[in-house]
Amino acid sequence: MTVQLLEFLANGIALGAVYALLAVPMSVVWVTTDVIDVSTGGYAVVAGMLAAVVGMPFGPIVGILAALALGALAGGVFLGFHKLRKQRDAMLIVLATFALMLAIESGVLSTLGTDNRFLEPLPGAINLSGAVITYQALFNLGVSIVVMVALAALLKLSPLGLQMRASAISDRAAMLVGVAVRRTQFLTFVFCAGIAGIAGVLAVLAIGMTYASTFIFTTVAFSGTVLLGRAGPLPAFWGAMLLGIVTAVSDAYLPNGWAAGVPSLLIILVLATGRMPATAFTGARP
Amino acid sequence: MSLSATGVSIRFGGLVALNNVAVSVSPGEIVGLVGPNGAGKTTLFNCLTGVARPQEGRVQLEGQDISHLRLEHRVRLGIGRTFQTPRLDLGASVADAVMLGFYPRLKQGILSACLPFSKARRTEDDLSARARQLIAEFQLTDDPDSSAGELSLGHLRLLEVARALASEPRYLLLDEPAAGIDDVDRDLLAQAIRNAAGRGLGMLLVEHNVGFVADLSHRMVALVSGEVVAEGKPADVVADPQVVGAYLGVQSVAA
Amino acid sequence: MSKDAKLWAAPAVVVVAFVVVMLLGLVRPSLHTTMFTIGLYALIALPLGLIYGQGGTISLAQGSFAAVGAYTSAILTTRYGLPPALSVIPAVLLPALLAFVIARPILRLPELSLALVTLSLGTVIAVGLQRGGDFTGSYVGLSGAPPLPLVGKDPVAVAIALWTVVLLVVVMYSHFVRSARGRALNAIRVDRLLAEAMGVNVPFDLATLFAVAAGIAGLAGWFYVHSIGYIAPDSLNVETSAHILFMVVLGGRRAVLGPILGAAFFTFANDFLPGAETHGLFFGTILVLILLLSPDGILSPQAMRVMQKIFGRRDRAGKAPPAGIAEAKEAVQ
Repeated sequence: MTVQLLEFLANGIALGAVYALLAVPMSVVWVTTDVIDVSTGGYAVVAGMLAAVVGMPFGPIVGILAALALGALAGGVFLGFHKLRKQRDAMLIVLATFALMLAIESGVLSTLGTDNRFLEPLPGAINLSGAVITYQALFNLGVSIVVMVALAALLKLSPLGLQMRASAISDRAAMLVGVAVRRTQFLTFVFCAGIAGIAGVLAVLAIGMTYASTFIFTTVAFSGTVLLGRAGPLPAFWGAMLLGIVTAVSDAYLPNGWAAGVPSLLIILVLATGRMPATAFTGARP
Repeated sequence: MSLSATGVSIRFGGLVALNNVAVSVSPGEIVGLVGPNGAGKTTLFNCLTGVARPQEGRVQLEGQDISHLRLEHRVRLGIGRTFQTPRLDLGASVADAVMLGFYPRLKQGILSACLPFSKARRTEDDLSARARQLIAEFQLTDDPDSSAGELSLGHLRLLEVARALASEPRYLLLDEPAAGIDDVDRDLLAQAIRNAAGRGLGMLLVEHNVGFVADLSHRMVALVSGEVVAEGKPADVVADPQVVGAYLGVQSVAA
Repeated sequence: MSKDAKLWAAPAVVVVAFVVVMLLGLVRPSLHTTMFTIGLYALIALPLGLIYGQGGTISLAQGSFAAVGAYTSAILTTRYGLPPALSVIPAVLLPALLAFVIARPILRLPELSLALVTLSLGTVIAVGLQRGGDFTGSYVGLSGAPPLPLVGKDPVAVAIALWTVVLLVVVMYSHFVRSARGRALNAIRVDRLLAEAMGVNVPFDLATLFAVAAGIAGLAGWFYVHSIGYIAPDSLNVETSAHILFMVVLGGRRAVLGPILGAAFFTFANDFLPGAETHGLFFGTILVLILLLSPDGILSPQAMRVMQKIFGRRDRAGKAPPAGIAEAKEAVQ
């Protein structure tokens, strides 16, 4: 029984590692721009699908570049809103990213059809006192950690990171002290899309995907973002990990297929019980 | 017979906003609440109306303890208030904005609101007429159907008061209604307040313009740093050294 | 009495449009089924127009509530032999009850959370229906639902029945927005504290209207399952909810007729677009443009202004914006 649990735990962590690469960029964009980028799932799916279609070794690169391009599109839409609309209504922009997600999903569906796509994962596995953990799972975990460390370095040490943090506290104040807020926010959209793209590539290696994964990935991203009740990349990371473990364990113990509802159920529970502070999602900023 | 707060203390984190404050308003009485910025006047309003919950003390309406009631419940019991910054739908017409004020007294059911030839329909014309009357009384605009967003700040403040009066409250709390409005409108406001008091409304008025308040009030209460430091006839309160000191920034003598 | 004329303008438009299209349908029978589809969407979308356009409360669960209504009726009629004329009652009440119970904790959330919670709710309902085993027919769904009472399967009769219900909803909606209750709901949208200061019991009112919206969606679900004859998890799902939101936003969320216009646009576009897969691209792009240029949709004052700009109406007599508080506020923001 413990061997099984260990295996589920390990797989849950590997799953969580991929989830983290969805939740963390969403939370970074949210904290910096007040916008929940609903098309996060779309970036992942486009990257993964393209990676599978083009194949190794260039597939992942093509995929991530495509994700970056889409992130630029979203960033452009964001800038468009701030230029055209006088009122700061984050909700409208979120709806726009929702529309973007629908467009991306449809684009993938029209060009690549409904087939399940996958890339050959890394062969082999290790055996940890009876628990079998694939090399692919370990690879995913490793990539996720590397990306997280790089992100942390970016946020803490680089000028862009400083500008992002300034914009996150108050975009108006940041503008007043000369931070190029809009450009910073645009770049945030772009590289966060890239991180989601990495998640997509890892996912297509580990579990495969279809066009329908778009919505699922977005739900996962959001679930990880809110699970620990606090805004920010670090809570999002741990939330995603926790989500991965909960999903893996429930997939093992719940009747077939019910685990698909876990991320959504958790979103409802967390938000409905008021774990997120009410001001977190109002877009109202000092 | 009054609206009263007794022994009210409220803390926000480490900050004591109100300390053992008592204030009351009787029907037909105009009570002026003065004090420097940050004294706790709006907080006191919030406690009286249910927007804030004090850790200690009670709020009573006609002897009934309403401390646990929410804002909308207190409003329906006959307490009205205006806000420091006007809260309204700038896209709506002036008439609609004022008509909103009638809501607490109407007790209109959702079903009645949906159905043709219902009570809701018959009252609409009546409400519209009364709203226009109020608009004329406060001289808000020549065209009640024009957008509320076109009104000046002064007129928006008057609209808030008109709307609050529309609900025919028993007690009305006015939060700086005269701030930023010109002399003509201020006289209108003063007259409207006196008229309302004459009809039996009890009013609690927060104002920075001490002269305006002193002229208007039957009684004044001075709040400094969350405590009542003076209470009584306007002339006395205005002359009180602690009050003067608080406004002029001089250290008060009493500890 | 121009006030009363305003009340009946929207219903009149609905009647005229319906009659015109149905007459055209004599020449082109496919229009009758198109009218049915538009009517279904309109029935689900109109209540969203009420709670979102007037009340500022987004719901991405309308499609799923319709599914709950459809499934309830399908199960009761196919499994327990209840006639559709009776199963309509639980088909309406069950989603309404579910919505009311769920409403309390979630309706106090700000806009964004609420949208995402209702979206998640829709997903959970969809998963539940898919994994319901024999009871819900799993992925395949349930078939063999009996036809509608009285009107049976005749497309014209069914369309008339459906649109009569739509007309009723439009009449009630029109009256509601011009009542004290309607103003109260708008106040909730503008500023909750304002609404409370006007004596509005915000949680209860929102929960009630949310439940009413769900109930009407359930009714649409009942119409759906008994005209088409079957229901599957994908028939009315989260995607449907997204489409419904699109219809409301495009048509005009503040206008009574807005959702109907959006439903008509969506349905006709679907018929003319190549392949179902490209729909998302098309609608997604349009949605972004609408949100950017005229968030209140087509039937809105803003859209009228945009039209005027495009078609170059230079006549601005009496329309010059005065320096009021609205301008000042916009300038600061």
